[in-house]
Amino acid sequence: MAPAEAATAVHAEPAISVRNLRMGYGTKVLLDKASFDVQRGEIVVILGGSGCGKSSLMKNIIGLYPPMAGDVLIAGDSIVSARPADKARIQRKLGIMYQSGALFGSLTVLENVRFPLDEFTDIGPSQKDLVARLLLRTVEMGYAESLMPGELSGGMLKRAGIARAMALGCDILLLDEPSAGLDPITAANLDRTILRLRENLGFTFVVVTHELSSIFTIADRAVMLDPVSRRIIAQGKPSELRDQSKDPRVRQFFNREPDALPDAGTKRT
Amino acid sequence: MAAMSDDSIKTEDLSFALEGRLTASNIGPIWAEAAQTLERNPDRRVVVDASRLDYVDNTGIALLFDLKRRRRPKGAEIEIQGLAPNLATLVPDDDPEDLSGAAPQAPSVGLFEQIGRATEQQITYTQRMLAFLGDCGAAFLLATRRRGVVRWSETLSVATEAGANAVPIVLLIGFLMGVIIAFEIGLVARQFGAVIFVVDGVGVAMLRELGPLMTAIVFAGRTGAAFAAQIGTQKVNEEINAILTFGLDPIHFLVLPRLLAAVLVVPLLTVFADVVGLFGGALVLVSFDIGFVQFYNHLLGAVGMNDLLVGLLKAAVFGFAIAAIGCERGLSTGAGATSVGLSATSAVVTSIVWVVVLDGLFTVLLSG
Ligand SMILES: Nc1ncnc2c1ncn2[C@@H]1O[C@H](COP(=O)(O)OP(=O)(O)O)[C@@H](O)[C@H]1O
Ligand SMILES: [Mg+2]
Repeated sequence: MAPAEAATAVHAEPAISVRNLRMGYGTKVLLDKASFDVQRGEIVVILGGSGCGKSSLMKNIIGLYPPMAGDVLIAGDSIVSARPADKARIQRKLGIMYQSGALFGSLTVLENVRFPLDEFTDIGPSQKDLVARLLLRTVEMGYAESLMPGELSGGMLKRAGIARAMALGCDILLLDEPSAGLDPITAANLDRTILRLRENLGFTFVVVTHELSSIFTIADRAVMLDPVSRRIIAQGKPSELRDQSKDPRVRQFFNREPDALPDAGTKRT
Repeated sequence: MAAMSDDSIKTEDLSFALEGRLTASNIGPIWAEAAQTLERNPDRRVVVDASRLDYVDNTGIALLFDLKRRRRPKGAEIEIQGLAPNLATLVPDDDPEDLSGAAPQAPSVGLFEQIGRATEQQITYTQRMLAFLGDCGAAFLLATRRRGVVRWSETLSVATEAGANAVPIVLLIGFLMGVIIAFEIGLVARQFGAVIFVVDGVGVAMLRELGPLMTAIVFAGRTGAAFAAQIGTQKVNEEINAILTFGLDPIHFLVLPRLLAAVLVVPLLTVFADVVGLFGGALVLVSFDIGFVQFYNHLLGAVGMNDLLVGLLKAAVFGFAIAAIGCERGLSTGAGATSVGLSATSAVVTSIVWVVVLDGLFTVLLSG
């Protein structure tokens, strides 16, 4: 992590800082009193059962929804209280891959990846194509560049979404379940890409994922949400959470154990 | 910031330096200049000094790759010196051919081929439409004979949305139609002292033609398009496939309620349009010195029950056609959000064409 440490020295403040966040929809609270930091060059995974609000947390972090309380700082700037122009500037520091891929349906895969470059840079056309193609090759989608999003499978949509998220060269990337729907080889390659970007360029990642193998491979730290208590129930190194956590829910998750059967307890007593 | 210095001594190697941070925000001009320099000097060796390069993002990686992959004659190679190892590992080595060259474009098609293809498309489309209408008709007949085939609750909710909510706009358009034709015919008729016959004109025109026609056009724009968009979205989201794999028939499940609702609702709306249209005509004729009572009495002699019924029959057929076209366009939606939009547009255009054609057929058949 040598280059990453160099980067931390320059930017003393964490890449993302979530402070006392309460979020939800309408009056329904999904998560309360959530606080965690993501340091520069760190890879943090967000865990939790399906439907517990991981995607919603992502959307709060990137400022799509205003939180009910609390604050989110991106590189020291609050995205919650920022004025619209500043907010757009802050959001451009973030590369985001939505759970559905969220590609533009009227553009080909290549055009989707080139889109942020078309909008925000003055790079020449053939050179933008080259940037986009290299990105697509990074996520093993080179062969699909001229397809429309409607013609892609779920895993392909996600990979194209990752390429688009990286196109502007943001060094903070948020990926919502990037490896869901990928075969094991492609998923492992994706993990390797994430690690290489962190190693060599000091990228910061926030990744929502359920894949245990991927969690143990890439994550420096895991943040685990719980839908019942609506709190963050665990933060820490995945291997330590697995082996040392006192919370049975956390150990159960990392050891991939099913819930106890309803009658199993009664028989034993 | 990165900077470049052109070494102008011809016999020497060309050299330039890449410095600082190379990111999407500043790389545009640097890259363009580098590419130009290389093209202006095709037969000189180029040395790129990357030792003071601190950081690159993926656009910077692409620039380095672009320098590395260029095939140049012997003695004119490009050499990148001093690139930090952590950056060097990110620059790919090989250049598969697919990274150069423009993005593939659809092959251009000649005029005759285009006309031919469009014609062929229209023919297959008409065939498909007729087959679909056949299916719908069969489903419709089955529904009238067997109980339990029709999902009435769905039919009712479609009818509410397509019918009740369309009443204001139908009233407005019907009223204006009555006013306009009464006025136009009135001006001409007054020259011949035949103002009373304007009542005949307004009556026949509203009941037989304009009532059903204008209602159908409103219905096509409001509801036909909505049917195509709803069913199209369901198609894109694979809901149609889910219906099929449950062993259900999308025609019964989605199309039939809409057809029934349309066949019930369009005639009803037409009655509204007729009534306010006649009222609008009567209102105008007051200014031509024909009172409401006189209008009413003359109207009873001028139009008969069969005029109203012809209009309502037309309305029912138009409603059937519009709903069927909307559903068919929805079911044949391709993939993606764009195709839903195309389906909705195409549903409206096709509906209006068919309504006019059907109207013509009615005129021919009923006059014979
Ligand atoms: N736009 C929305 N409006 C209201 N509720 C929503 C919305 N999006 C998600 N939810 C609800 O919030 C909860 C968490 O959703 P989500 O963040 O997508 O979960 P996860 O990504 O962890 O699976 C779910 O119960 C879902 O029903
Ligand atoms: Mg989610």
